Amino acid sequence: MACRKHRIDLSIIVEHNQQVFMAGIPAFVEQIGEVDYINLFLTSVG
Amino acid sequence: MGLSAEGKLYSAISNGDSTLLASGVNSFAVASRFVVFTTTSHDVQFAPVDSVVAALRSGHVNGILQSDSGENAAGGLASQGWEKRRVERGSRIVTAVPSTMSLVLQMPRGNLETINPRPMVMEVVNNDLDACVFTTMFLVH
Repeated sequence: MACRKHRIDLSIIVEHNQQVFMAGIPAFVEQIGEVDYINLFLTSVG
Repeated sequence: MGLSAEGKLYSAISNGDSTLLASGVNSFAVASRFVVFTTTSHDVQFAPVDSVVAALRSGHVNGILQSDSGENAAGGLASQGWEKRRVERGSRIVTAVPSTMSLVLQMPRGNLETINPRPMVMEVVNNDLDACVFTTMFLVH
């Protein structure tokens, strides 16, 4: 919860469980819905 | 869990096995699957309950107790790589709140400070990621 508030690097979203994340990318994009947040996430993943 | 007057923190499981977790302990709390305790060397340590129980079950309790007899001030199971966070000297834990990921400390002057320790935040983040709940990652609560 609240990675941004607690300054958790967003790459944790991928690295926590990469296979599950890769399978759930459509769900991820749909849930976020905010392009700024997705940009932020992509920047962290680098 | 028990804390002796001389600052030794002990833990036991239901079959009666017990061990020394750490020495030089000021205060402790159990929350969100961590045993959180402050030490006289001015840090807060986060011992995962699972690893404590696993160590007790695996039966090398005697070895743990022997390792405490050394000069290592931390002693006990604490020599394992539990997560640590430096805090002000003399801080004591008032309470730990899993839902807000926060830990309330009382400073030696009497004031209260609330911190959001990384292990407690990561616990919630990992649970959300396991459940594929992503919205909470970005919202500021």
